[in-house]
Amino acid sequence: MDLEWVRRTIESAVGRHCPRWLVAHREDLVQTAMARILDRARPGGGDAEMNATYLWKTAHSVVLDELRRKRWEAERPLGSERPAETQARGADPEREAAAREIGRHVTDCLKTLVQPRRRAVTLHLVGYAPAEAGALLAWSAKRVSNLVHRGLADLRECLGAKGVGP
Amino acid sequence: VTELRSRWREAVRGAAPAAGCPESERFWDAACGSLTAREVCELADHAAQCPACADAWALARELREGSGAAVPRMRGRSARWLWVPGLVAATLLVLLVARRETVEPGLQVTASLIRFVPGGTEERMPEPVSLVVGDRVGLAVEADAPAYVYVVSIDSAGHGALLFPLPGLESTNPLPAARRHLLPGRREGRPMAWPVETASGREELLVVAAYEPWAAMEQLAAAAGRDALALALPDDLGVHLRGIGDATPDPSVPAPPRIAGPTLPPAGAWVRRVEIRTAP
Repeated sequence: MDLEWVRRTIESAVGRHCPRWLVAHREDLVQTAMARILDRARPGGGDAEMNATYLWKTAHSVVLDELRRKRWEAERPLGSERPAETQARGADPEREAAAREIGRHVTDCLKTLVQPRRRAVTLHLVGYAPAEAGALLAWSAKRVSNLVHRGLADLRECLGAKGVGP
Repeated sequence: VTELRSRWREAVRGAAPAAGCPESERFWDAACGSLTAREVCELADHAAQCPACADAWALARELREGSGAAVPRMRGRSARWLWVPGLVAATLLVLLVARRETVEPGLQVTASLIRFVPGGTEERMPEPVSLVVGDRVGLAVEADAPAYVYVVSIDSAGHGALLFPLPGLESTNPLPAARRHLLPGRREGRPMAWPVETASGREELLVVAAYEPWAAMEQLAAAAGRDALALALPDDLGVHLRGIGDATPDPSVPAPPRIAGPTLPPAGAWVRRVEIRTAP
């Protein structure tokens, strides 16, 4: 297993996943994640493919834990301060608040979609292309595209009604 | 849309899971294509209302993609065979259809048997449906997307007949979405119904709805006479009709055609069985 490849991939994923206010901690996060991954996923012989699979699965778990931990640290209430460097280098409270508000509205509006559209739109938001989502849901890519198209139209309408627009 | 997705993803990053959330490993499994379509649907339903899990899933997808692994392939469907008491030998059609019954989460369909009561009213029949000779029935069906709908009657001996679609009926496939359709519908402006003509005991109606045409049934329907209310299915599918409908052969069509090509309903078809008991 090429650990440098793992590291680069994790850096890339963390880069895309790291909240804006956590940018300053990105490198720390990658380091911590790599240390924990290596600790938990010791490739001690056996099937190389299985080891690689386990390592990536571990990477997912560890990076997720670290992101959540960092967020929890940053958001913990009274008596605990957000790390100074976070505030100095990445934070934009107004933008964070706006993003949270949009996230809440999107979640509320997703609930109003009919089930197939909600599922297709959720996978779309998660990042799946129609062909990938179709493979997971056992639907055709065309069907997923149609559902996403209609679902996003419903979503836009719902968000518009809540005063959220482009 | 890109901006919306970007903002939403920004909002959910690092969100904390709540009690009752699936293990984060489930999202890794989903990203690897290790879950069934039904399991993926359950996760999608949860992720739609849980930012933390949506985030976990997005991260899993990105890492999976970054790992260089192949895009998940369509998984085999976990077919569940239906047991139709007394029909084992003659229900090839049922089995072929039933294999598809379990999994497709896509098309949302409601279907219920309707009895036409003299005087022009409709009575929705609870299941198992009990009918007597002389009753006239129809099927109310509604789908959330344009759907090719097929109605097949199967008697207690496993003999089947196609009740819908048939030539001459004003309702034709695909039936428009989000609208209640009463089948068989009208013919030359007159409302039609399927008559119960014999008391055959136990029967079933198979209702199949799909995004794509069921080629075998379309072939059969095309060969039926324009006045037929039912078309006996050919021998290789278990023929003959009793009970609901009228299987009197149309003289212009000496025998049902043999089906060329695949006989299975389209992949992902929605299938429903309606059990019926007929009495004199």
